[in-house]
Amino acid sequence: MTDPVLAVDGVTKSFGGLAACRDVSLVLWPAEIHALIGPNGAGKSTLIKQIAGELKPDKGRIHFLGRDVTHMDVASRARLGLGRSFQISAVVPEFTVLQNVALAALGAERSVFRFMRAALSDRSMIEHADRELDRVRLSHRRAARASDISHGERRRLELAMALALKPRAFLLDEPMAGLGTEGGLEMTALLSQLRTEAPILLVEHDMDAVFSLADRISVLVYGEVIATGTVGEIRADAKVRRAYLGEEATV
Amino acid sequence: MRRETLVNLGLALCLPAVALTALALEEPFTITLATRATILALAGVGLNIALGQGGLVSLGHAAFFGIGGYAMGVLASHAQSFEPLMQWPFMLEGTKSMPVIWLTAMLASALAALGIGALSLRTSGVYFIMITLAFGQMLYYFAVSWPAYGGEDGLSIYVRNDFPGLNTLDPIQFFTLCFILLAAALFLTARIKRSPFGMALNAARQNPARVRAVGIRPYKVQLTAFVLSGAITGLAGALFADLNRFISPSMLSWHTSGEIIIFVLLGGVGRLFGPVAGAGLFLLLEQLLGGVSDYWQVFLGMLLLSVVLFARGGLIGALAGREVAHD
Repeated sequence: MTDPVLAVDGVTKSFGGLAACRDVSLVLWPAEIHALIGPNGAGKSTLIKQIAGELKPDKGRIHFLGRDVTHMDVASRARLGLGRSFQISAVVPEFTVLQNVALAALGAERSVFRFMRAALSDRSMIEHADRELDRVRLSHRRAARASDISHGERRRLELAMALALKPRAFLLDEPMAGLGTEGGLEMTALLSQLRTEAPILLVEHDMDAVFSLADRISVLVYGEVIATGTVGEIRADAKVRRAYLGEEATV
Repeated sequence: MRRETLVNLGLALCLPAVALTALALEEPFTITLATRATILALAGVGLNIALGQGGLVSLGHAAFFGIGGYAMGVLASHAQSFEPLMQWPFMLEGTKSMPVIWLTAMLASALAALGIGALSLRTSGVYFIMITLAFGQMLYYFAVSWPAYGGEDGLSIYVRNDFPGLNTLDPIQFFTLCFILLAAALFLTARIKRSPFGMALNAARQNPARVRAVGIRPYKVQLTAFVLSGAITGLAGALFADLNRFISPSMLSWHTSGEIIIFVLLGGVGRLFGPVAGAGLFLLLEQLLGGVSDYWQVFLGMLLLSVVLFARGGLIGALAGREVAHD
């Protein structure tokens, strides 16, 4: 049996008296899309932050590529290959689209401490950045300022930045948020292509997207994973229906 | 050629033009004034790396300016009194050699910036401003109470230091030296701005979370920038001390920090030639309005206010427009 890419093991995190995550365990296997769903306030964001390294869990361990990363900072985990998109788009606003991707490529190559040569004169790096822009179909906007592009384009730019890290796993926090029907479909198509590149842990509210993309789903309610399984299993799960989809809901 | 490049070129030629005209008209005072503008611009170029590119509002850059000045004062005073700086564990003599003094000044202020930056950069925003101010004031009071080098009264150096092959007491020759150093610092800053390091530094100012997420630690990048920035401002301090042949704790006071920030603000934050334009404008105002009224800084205050309110890009912004994203 293959080893999991990412393994969250018994992670607990409280803020004061409020337990945001209670003994959460989940596993991301190679080449799968694992969706994390749950109502607002279920602790999804807290969990994502702990996996990314922004928050330290009170208890439990996180393994990435077989290494214990529980005490590593965000930058170290990114260098290991954890490519991330944020819930609220996070790009460098004054940079062009291309510069944003180039920044990610620089991070991936760990070649930040160079002072004299222009960053954008590095041919191979620019080609690398352009390739990623092409994959998210953003090449035509490469010279635009990141603050000037549309919300949907910014979403795709973030994806290109994650891709430029040559990631071993994607951590995508609501990539469909605010995209509308058409944009959502486009993003769904894009993500299903990425699966072959690296497995995806996907936090998403858009149920159509989740059900069409996910190989497995974990449901988080009040900080606890109440069910993990395939799309069919989750649809059929009585606990999930009660807690999350609503008693009456038919999915 | 882009408009900003033209404006920069014009500004770069302004200083030597003033100095050479003054030379032809035999007005050494004006050459000295141009030299002062050059040196203060250099201090601003240093600060602009931290403030402009890195967004690090340091209210303690007088510390580096002063350390550079005191490095010159200490070395030169021992050379003029023929007393060694220390005899144990090894013999260390004072020196009147500018290159040695410059290197010492840069090294000392870089070390100070490393220490101050390592602690200050753990905070941000207002706390960063206050902690850099506190470090600056600490050094100021230390200098005031340190009798060995003049304490509160400061210390005079009787003869300007030497540079191989030049007569540094000749105003135009000293000006040329300072101008070459300013040009070198500007060249360095321009390269840094476009380098991978400059990119990471600019990105860390705008969105540190994103920078971390691509595997770069903002702290390391900003600390490096702070050290570079301190070293350049320290060099300017050594030159300033040599220009006046005098050092005093006022070089370390927070007024000095404020003035260096004003050069950067007036000229345009983050713009390559901002500090040159700012320092030039500042001295011009001081000369023109200082003659009219002792309270000329009231007018400076009004000008600053209007720059902050209406012209964020400062003088360079007004002349060359908004900065274009370079590719």
